[in-house]
Amino acid sequence: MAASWSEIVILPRGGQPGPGLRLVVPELADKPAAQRALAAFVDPVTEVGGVFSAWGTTTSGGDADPFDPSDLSGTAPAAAYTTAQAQRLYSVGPLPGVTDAIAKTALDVLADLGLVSAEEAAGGQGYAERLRVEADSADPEARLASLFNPLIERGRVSSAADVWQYSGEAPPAVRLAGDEVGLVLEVDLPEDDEALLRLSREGVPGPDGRGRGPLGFQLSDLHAIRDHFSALGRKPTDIEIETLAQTWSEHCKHRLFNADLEGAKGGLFKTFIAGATRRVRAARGADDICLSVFSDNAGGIVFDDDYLVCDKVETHNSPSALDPYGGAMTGVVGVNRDCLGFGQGARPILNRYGFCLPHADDPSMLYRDRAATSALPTARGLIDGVIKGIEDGGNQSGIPTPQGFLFFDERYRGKPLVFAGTVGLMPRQLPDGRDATVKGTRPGDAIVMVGGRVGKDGIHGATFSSVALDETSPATAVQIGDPITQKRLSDALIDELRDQGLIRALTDNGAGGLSSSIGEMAEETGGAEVWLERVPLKYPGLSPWEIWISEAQERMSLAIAPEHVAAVITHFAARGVEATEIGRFTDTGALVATYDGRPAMNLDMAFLHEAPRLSLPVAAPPETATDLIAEPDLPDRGACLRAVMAQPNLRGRTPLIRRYDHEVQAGSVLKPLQGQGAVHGDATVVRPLLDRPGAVAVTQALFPRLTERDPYAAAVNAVDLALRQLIAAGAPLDRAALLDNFCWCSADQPERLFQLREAARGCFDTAVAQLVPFVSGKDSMFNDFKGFDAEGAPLAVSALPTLLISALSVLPDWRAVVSMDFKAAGDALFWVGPAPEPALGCSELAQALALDHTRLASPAAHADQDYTGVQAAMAKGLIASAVAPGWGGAAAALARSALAGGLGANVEAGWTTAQWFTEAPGGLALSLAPEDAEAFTALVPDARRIGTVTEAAGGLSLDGEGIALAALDAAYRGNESGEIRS
Amino acid sequence: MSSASNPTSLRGPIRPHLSAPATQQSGPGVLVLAGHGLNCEHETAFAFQQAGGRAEIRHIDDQDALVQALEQAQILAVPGGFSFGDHLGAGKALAARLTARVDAALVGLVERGGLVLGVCNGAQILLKTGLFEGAGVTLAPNAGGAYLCQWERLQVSGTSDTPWLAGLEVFDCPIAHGEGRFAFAPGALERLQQGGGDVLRYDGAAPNGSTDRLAGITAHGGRVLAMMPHPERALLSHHHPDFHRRAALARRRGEALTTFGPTLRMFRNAVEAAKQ
Repeated sequence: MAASWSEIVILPRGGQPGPGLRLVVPELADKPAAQRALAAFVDPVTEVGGVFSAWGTTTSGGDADPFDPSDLSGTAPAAAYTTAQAQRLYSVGPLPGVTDAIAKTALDVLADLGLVSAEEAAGGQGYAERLRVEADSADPEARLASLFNPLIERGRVSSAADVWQYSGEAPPAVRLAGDEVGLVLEVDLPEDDEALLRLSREGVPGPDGRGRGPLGFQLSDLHAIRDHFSALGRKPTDIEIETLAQTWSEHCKHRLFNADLEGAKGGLFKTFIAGATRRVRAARGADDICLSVFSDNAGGIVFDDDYLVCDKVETHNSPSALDPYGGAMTGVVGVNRDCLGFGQGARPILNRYGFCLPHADDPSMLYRDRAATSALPTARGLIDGVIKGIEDGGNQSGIPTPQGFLFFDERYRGKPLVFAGTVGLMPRQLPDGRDATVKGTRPGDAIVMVGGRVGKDGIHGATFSSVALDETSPATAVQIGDPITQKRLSDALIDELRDQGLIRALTDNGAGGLSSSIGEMAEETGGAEVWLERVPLKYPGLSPWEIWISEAQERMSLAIAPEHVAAVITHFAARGVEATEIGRFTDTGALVATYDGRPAMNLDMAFLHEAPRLSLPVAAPPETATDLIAEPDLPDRGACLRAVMAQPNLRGRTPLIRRYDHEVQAGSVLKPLQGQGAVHGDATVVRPLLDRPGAVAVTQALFPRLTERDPYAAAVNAVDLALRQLIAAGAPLDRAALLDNFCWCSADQPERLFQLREAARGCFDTAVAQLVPFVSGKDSMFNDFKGFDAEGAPLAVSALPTLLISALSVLPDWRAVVSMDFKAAGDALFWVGPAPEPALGCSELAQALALDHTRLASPAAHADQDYTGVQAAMAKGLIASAVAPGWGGAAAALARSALAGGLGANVEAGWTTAQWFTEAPGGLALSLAPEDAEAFTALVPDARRIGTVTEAAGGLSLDGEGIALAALDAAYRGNESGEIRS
Repeated sequence: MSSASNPTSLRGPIRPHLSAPATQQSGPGVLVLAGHGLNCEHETAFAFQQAGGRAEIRHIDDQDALVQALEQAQILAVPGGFSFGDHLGAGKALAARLTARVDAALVGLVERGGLVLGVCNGAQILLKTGLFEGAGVTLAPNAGGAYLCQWERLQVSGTSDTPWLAGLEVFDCPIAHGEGRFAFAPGALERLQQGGGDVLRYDGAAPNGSTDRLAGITAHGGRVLAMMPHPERALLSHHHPDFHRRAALARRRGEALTTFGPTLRMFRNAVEAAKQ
């Protein structure tokens, strides 16, 4: 560490409120050096700056400076702040060891200026605090608390003048005892089952006897491990136990999804998800579009003869529950790495997101501990944080984020669900002729870790998300994102290195860190050897097991032929990315790690990758409701529409959409806001290559409330809706694929497993009926919170069992895209598909009006609808607008087409109010020019004319009951900032 | 593959995200910067290529090659993005690096009559380099505080004589920024107006609270343009949010929409000006 320090303070000019920075950097030599630093750091129009050193003070208001602050305020900067009495200064900086991206950039700039050495810059010797000058607050401590997360940051409140002086404090540094450096422990596996389970719950005991954190093993796992090592005649090491915990975790191996269940021998995944894909691919024969399914970080399908697209949707629920901002951000940059780590590396072309959240006005406070000292974020803080996390993660990575959904329910208060997905584009063949979907690691290849350094971040992330969130959940499981570090890595990898033939294979370091990435890559060659002391660390003092399983972000692992290692490392270095050779792949059949040459791990690969299969009972929940009502008493359809369009899940979210850059890469064809009325749509479409006509459409669908009552129907509905949304956008089903995210709660309970099985069965039936394959998925089985209220009373909140279906499709030509807004008065309205049955159970209308005992639609009645005629009409350009009814039923769908187009409609379908608002499979609402009606009905003979688009003044009339567009608009937009603040 | 293992061959231009390499062998040279979080280099290079320029993307850290490219290019584009994460304030860190490493070549390009475009983060960067030295102008956080990605109607000043905007009066373009509010030191706005550098305004209220509704300003006689809206994202007609309605109505008239939107004109203007 540097011996002495300078402090650089940047504040808004003239004592105004606003943001600032305080940087602690290796000492700047003298006044000219300080002035050069200020010239780079301080914006002379809006900011003032000072450099404070042991040798004296330098401010940006030098004699020759035309922007001397004294010219503006009549006082020196410090005086400006001291005289502005009604002000507070809030300072927030990272806790020691937490990624300090601001300090790193500051040091880069100082190195460019020659004011600090390259070694000091690379060593991260600095510290940065974000400052905010604000008007005085009645409760500054409460205001401060709202500005930072104590798990990863520290904050203080002072006056601005307090920081405008030399403090002499060195940057906070991580001081680990370091007595576990190089230490490898042997672990006793007790005979007693209770003791074994305690070991799993509390973790491997460290030298002090205290457990290192939950391992998440099943009892049968622990027996298998004990038997394995007993046969070897030795005890396992701590690294070996941690590696098995990571590799066998629910998060990594999806134990529950692969368990034998009644009605799904071989597991739900094999039976219903991979099973559907196998069935679809066989039926498609030569028209199969799958290029890589379930075996890589994402699923890949054909884009055209030369390119493929891959897709992956991740969940980041547990990290987001503790740190909403960091959890969501690492969710999006993490799934970006799944794309970068797919095959030989795909370029991210689109991000999507999804939030299942409590209502913003939910006042409840939940605590992880009985003493009520460790609070979960407030509902408001949770919503703000996850929205901002996706914003910063996506926008800073230069990937458009056009597609997303919001779903609100109070049962997401304990564990929110945060989904992040990334679509990527990759050539199908590399210039040297290799199939780009194939990895190709060979024995003798070097293991090179590239990207961020390793710290204590995210220790036990994978095992932690495999158990319920409670008091013992480790705070170090929180991960910190640094999108710019990853962007440098991504640019160098995809734009420069991939096509050079220097890299044999690569994968993401995600959950489980090196233990997972190298463990997986080593399967190809049959072994690997890792030299843990070579892994670059953020700070000294980590023990070998921590290095091995840390989930520090922005890292990938590469396999490189020995003759190319130097070239690759040199190139990464030229791009400001650290790359380090940390081992080699072998064919010894063992995963080996050493520290300074001393053995730390020697695990049999076959044992490592064969987690014992679980066998679990399922039980149907008791039948509850009877005498369900098909046609409840309802207000008129106008009033129902007003209520439904104002529902949190349906209403406008323009402020949110505008915070996510959905235009970068310049490929947008169908945007998140559609029509002159700017209404959010169901599908978005982008062109990933501006010199080819192909385009990618994406959609999402979910019915969590229905899952509780009829999980099979919920799955059918979700798959069917995601596909109908594609069709409505003009995207073909024969080039479409599906992704599943099962986010369950208490999933080892027989009744929850029953629901899981039924939902998976619904996925299978619908995918097979429409011949669309599943290509990727990720599940999360324990979205349960167990904690306390403010009085210390125990409470539990479980998330709704939630199945998110994401779909994508490749349009051969983007010109086939259809938007949902009505285009012209006089256009003919058609309905394609079955008339909705009256069944409002679990619908948005039932939610809005608090209806009980409403009937559920018959499951799967219409999920095999044939839409090929509609697709042919779209390809001919006959369709002016199309929308797939989902939440809010056909009524809400037409309302959105009307609002988006700024036009009304007069509709005579002959349906009851319940039919208008039913949310069930099947159905599309289309409008087209009257002169095209004949050509259209020739292609779609069963299409039913249901009405006519009118001028706006006509409003929307549904079977004689209407609503003015202004009233619809007010319902849709009236509270669009209620949940989402801009 | 053998030549590829030589690390120096990796330090050439970055290939644009297109399926075919650019076929354009003639036309003015356009240098597009990349690296450290800039992220619009590919679509910016595409826009110049469509306009007839010979666009080349280079990483800002390849210092020698960059100096050489700056000496040879007739047009420089600094694209949008989040350079260095905007950690110190938008554009500061990358501007400091450019100034420290290639300042002379940058100023030299302008002094010999070259054109410079900075878009969004590129504009924030340009304002902090020597090209706007002494102008007393900066880009401050949006008045509303939030990042905004939305389409805006823009208006070219009647007195503008920048080659970039010749022939354009009113056109639509998306913005995507959190720090896009032009702010001035006392007297600086008046100086800008007197010099005719106030070239581009929002047509209506500025979404970010920008002084004088400014969306873009020039220096060096109009050859250097710093603008917050993204013209490369309005290049194609399907980029426009009203495209699908326009296309449906045009079809009924038996017409088809043009491939390009209005901003192709900007890139063509620069290419034509550079030829002279």
